[in-house]
Amino acid sequence: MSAIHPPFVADAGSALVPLPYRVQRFVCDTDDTFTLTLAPQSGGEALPFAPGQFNMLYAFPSGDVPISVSGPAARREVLIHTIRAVGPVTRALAQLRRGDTVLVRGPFGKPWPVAQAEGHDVVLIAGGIGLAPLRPVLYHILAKRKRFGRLCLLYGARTPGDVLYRRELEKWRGRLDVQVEVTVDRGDSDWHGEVGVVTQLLERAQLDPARTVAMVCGPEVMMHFSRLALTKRGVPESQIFVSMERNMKCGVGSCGHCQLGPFFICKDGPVFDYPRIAPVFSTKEL
Amino acid sequence: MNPPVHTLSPQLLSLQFFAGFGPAELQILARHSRQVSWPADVEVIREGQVATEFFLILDGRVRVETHLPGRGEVTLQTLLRGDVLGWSWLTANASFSFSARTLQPTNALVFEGTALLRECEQHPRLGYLLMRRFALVMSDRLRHTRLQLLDLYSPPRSSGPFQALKKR
Amino acid sequence: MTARESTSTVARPLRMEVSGLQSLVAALWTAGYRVLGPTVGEGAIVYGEVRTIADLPAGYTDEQDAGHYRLRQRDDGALFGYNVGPHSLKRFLLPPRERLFTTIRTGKQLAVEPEPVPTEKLAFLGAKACELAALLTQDRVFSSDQHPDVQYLARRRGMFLVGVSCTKAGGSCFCTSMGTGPKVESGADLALTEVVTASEHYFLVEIKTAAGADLASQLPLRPATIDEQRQAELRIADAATQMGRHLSTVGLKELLARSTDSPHWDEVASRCLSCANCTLACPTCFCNTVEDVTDLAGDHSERWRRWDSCFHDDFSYLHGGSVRASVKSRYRQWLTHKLSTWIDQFGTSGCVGCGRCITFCPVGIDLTAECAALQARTT
Repeated sequence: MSAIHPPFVADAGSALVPLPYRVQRFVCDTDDTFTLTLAPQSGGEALPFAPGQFNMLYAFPSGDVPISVSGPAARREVLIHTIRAVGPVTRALAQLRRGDTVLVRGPFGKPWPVAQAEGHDVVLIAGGIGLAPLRPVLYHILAKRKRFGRLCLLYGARTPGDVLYRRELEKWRGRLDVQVEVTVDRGDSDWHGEVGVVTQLLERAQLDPARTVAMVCGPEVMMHFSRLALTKRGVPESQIFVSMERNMKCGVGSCGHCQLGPFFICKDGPVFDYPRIAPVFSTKEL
Repeated sequence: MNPPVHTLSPQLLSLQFFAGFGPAELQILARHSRQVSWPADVEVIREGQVATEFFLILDGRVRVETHLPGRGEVTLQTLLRGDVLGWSWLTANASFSFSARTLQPTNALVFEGTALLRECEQHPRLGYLLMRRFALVMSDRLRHTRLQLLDLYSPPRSSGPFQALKKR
Repeated sequence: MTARESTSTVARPLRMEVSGLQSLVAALWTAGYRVLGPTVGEGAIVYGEVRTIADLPAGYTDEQDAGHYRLRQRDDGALFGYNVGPHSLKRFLLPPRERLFTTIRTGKQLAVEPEPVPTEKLAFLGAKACELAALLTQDRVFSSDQHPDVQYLARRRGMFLVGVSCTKAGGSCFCTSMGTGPKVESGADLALTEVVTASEHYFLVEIKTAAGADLASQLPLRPATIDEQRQAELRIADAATQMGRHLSTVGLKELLARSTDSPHWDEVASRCLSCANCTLACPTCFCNTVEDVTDLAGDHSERWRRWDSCFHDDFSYLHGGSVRASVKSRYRQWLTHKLSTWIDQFGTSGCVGCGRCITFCPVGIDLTAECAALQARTT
């Protein structure tokens, strides 16, 4: 006979109740995207996270939204989030100023396979705001550069004005141990970089496909075509990782909103190896 | 002007463009090609010009562009090593639809399209392989263009009027 | 607890008179429980407070079929002679609306006050086998190792469960298909079977847990005779033959997983109103959302969790649109989750065969019939 009552942890804090964080820094990245640096209101260290995990950021009193951490995991005193203002909550977050308070729950979700990627070439393929969840991976690899093979960042943005972290991209591009390629869908007369889609950049990424780990983040269509291009290049599917997105309310797999087939994106993802997500990937209205 | 490339080096042959051609076809292709070197900021082809040639980029960077009143030169796409520039020659007496300009010093192979079309009439296998190659080039280009058209990174459609963040 | 439970499984069933049931209710109140059980209300049998056994729906039964529920009189005065009503235990563990925390703003500071952990002890009298199975199914959702749901589990821990095996089945019932009933095998502290004959009215009592044994020790019980046990078993066996519905679960998980593109979804969608009744009546559907309520001054905000449904069009809202914009995709999500991906997620089916979704569907969409139609299309 089985016990009729589930195990109960008396002192467990609820993952549904947030902690207050103070806005330490507000940076405008582009016309609609900004980066918040947050420190715990009570002092001390921020919640530790792994690259690829996300927090629920709550703009009082509007509500909360899932936002990936975009800062370095090694900086324990702050949480850095890059946010695109597209809905009521993200627009409310955009109104925050230095010294304001934001509520944070998390971190949630499965991270990028940074440990698994050690000893491999790594290609990061980012589309639009998808660069933000990948930036912690880049920080991690650059900090432990010797443990990894070649490193390549391929980034596609809408227009030159939409390119995120421009100064950092330029700094990384100046390094000899990382290949940085940036392309835009629409150029302008001042843009001397690439014009085209991010998958085209893959053709000139310097990689050994068989021993490459690819991490892809962006709109689903972009990830789909990136996966096709990676496969064409010879990167094994089991070494391709994507980050999925769905509506989320709880972050812990109990509100049901983020389901995609058998998965709760919030706790089984957001990062999936491609073979695992393949059966439901790109399925219409799933 | 550089002389024709009578033999294609193994390095050139490793380019995807030459995959699938047999020795006989490669010889014909070589006969109607020559290598060119352009400095940066050279107009390689001009919109409206009669198209008799096409190019295979070996290194450097070329942009396909058009001029829009009020917007100046708009880059439609940038081309890199291994990319083909120009397919208007396929339809005889056609003219280039867009201009192309080098962004940096660039090396390329120039193919005499008009002459190759005549060769294709004599050598149907060459014709078939060349058309297949260009079908691939065009389908790749079309797919990429469609993805650009999707404007995947645009703001969500029903997000309402958005006031750009003020720099502060 | 397991060791003590295993000894109790071999304990002989006991006989309890109707008056003993009154003692049971009284003993639970005395022990500090708020006792909830079947009562007649809202034109149905719903959970309500049971102070005495006079509150129970004596002589009532329910008549159920697709899109059909009626209260009817029985001629035998049975107290548990019905199947299930629109309510389930879900509403007591995951209330339709509950506050999670309150935020108070003072200047630029925000203070978060979590809602106190519930301390009320609830006892349920008359939970049917499917109801208890649903409870165990929901437990798995809210008791993950990493992020257990504090509110849910606090309520759950305090519960005392008196299960009652069904001695009749309804028109929408299919618990035998799901392996959850009609007999209360586990999941309760005490399991009762009501026996009403021309001359007698008594309960067969089985002790299922240590807590159940403690309570039973306070009740006037005597060992049941072999005949009394047989009378109870006959009635349960009878109920098992009366199931109004049947669901063939063989290969169903896999069938649904590969039926994403079935034209049948269009057919269901032409009838489905996307009203969410099925998900609200379902005892295992757990989907919920949160809303933030602010006072006019804007210094005080409360976060409330409330039931939600995958049938609502904004449920899957993402970047300016819904992922599941069509009714077809929402019905597919609900059915596929319930009977297929739930097994991937939690190791059990999300369906317990209670039939509520069939009964309370305003257009009478029948989950068992939809599955049969999908099965027929592939054979």
